[in-house]
Amino acid sequence: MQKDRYISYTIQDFLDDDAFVKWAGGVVENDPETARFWETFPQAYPDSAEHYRQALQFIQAYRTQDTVTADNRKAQLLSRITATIQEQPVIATTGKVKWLRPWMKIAASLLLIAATGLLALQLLNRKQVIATDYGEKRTITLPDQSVVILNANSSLHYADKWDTTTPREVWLEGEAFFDVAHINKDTQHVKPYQRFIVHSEGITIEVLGTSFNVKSRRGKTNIGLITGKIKVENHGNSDRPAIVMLPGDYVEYGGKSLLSNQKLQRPEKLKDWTRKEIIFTDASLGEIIETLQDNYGYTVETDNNQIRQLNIEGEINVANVDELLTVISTTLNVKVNKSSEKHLVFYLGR
Amino acid sequence: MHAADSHIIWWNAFKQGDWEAYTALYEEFYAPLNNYGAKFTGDTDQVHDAIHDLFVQLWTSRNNLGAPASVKNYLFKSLRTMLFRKMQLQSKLVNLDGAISSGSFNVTFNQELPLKVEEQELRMQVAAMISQLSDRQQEIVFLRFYEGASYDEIADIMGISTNSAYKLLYKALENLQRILSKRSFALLCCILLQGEIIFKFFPDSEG
Repeated sequence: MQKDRYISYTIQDFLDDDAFVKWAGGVVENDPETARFWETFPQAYPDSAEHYRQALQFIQAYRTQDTVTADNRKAQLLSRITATIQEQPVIATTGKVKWLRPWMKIAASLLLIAATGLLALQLLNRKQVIATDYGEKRTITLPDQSVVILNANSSLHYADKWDTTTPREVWLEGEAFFDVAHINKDTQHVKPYQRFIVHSEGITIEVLGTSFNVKSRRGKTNIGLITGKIKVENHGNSDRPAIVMLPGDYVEYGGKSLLSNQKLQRPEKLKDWTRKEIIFTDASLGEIIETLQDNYGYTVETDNNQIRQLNIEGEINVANVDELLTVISTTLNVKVNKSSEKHLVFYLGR
Repeated sequence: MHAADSHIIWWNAFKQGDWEAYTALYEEFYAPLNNYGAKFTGDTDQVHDAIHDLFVQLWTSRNNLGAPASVKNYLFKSLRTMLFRKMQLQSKLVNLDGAISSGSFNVTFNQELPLKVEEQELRMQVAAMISQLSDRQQEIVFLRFYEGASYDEIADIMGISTNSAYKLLYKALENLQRILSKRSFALLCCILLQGEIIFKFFPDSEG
């Protein structure tokens, strides 16, 4: 047998030996012969037995490392993958447009060019107003390349041209996530155009470059900061000094008063909604109902108010409202009745 | 039949549009991919997003996929690329404010395990040694001793040459021999000493 090299095998030799490493780690099923060879190795090659033992001990000790298991999310992720695949547009085959005659193609192109031109002209001369419908989300790139993700039933407006003499300003109704391009490098000398100001329900938020979420619904405005630093002022109450927020800070205003000021464990959760699906973490049914009303335009009835206090622990991550309702009725002792297209009734019992 | 063989069978079936083979691949590789991805970032959602994108891309481009030598290595490599792209995108946004490092690789040993004292001791020594390695060295050690990859496979997954994979690992393990031999010496002393103490203090405890 050509196994004489094993007579003086160093630790490094063992660790370089693919067969040994695979066997020691139990990574693959070994054929019985290979397994027997390594198991009886110390007897067969006593001079290398000490190194064998040390190499084996190292691999075994290394393999006691922590592993990440999220098996509870395995099925959930597969259904998300499945949903995305089903949503993918089927690529149109060229055969479908064959019926178009050449002159029609030219006409269509001309029409398209004219329409684009018209749209471009309009865009150049106008103040930008972008509004989303129920159930719709939009990603907007501002003139300075800052990115805003606008949630459903919300609107954002701003001047379409930003010059260097005025600050960058936007006005928000509803909810949006901001990722602001950072222009200023020298915090001691901030030029006007380097300032970025969000106005929402009597609150102004001033930033340099940062990412944060603003939500103004039902007379309340809440702001959560993910990265950077922002200054928040409430114009309804000038006695109160401006608040400077640091990453993870979360504040909520209701009219003149500051309702809450807290530190979030996972501020990045604030932007969960910017992804496609409907996401909730440890939400009460009340919060879910508000979202159904604010973002999807449903009218909701409940048979008593206690029902709104019910909690769904953990994370809900679904593709659409129907799936959300299924989750609610399977996890809580609650029945949902869709009496018309946009009207829901929640009541206790199955 | 070896696992790698069934992977290839699933792979070929999935390329023909077999949904069950596709989900079988997902079932097989979700856990190892998730575990590998989590070493790069603490953001579990980001890892999930990357696995999502990877499997969606696999399905949509199945007609253009080749036949990889190892399905596992192909998936590991693809996940790594996707995750890096995501993290880079994110860090570009965050970098404007100054902070964040990307491309880290962290293996931890925090879980409580029912180990013997000397096993626990060795575990802690290995943990300390690993923590001193560079991120890429940690990744190589992981692929080598946790996933059982060969140097060629490591090079393929990480996009480096086989030679540098070998060199990086060799360097990473320079200290290992010292730890292991010092340890067995210490252990020997310990055993001898224990024996002595017992002899000294309890010379005839049973008598």
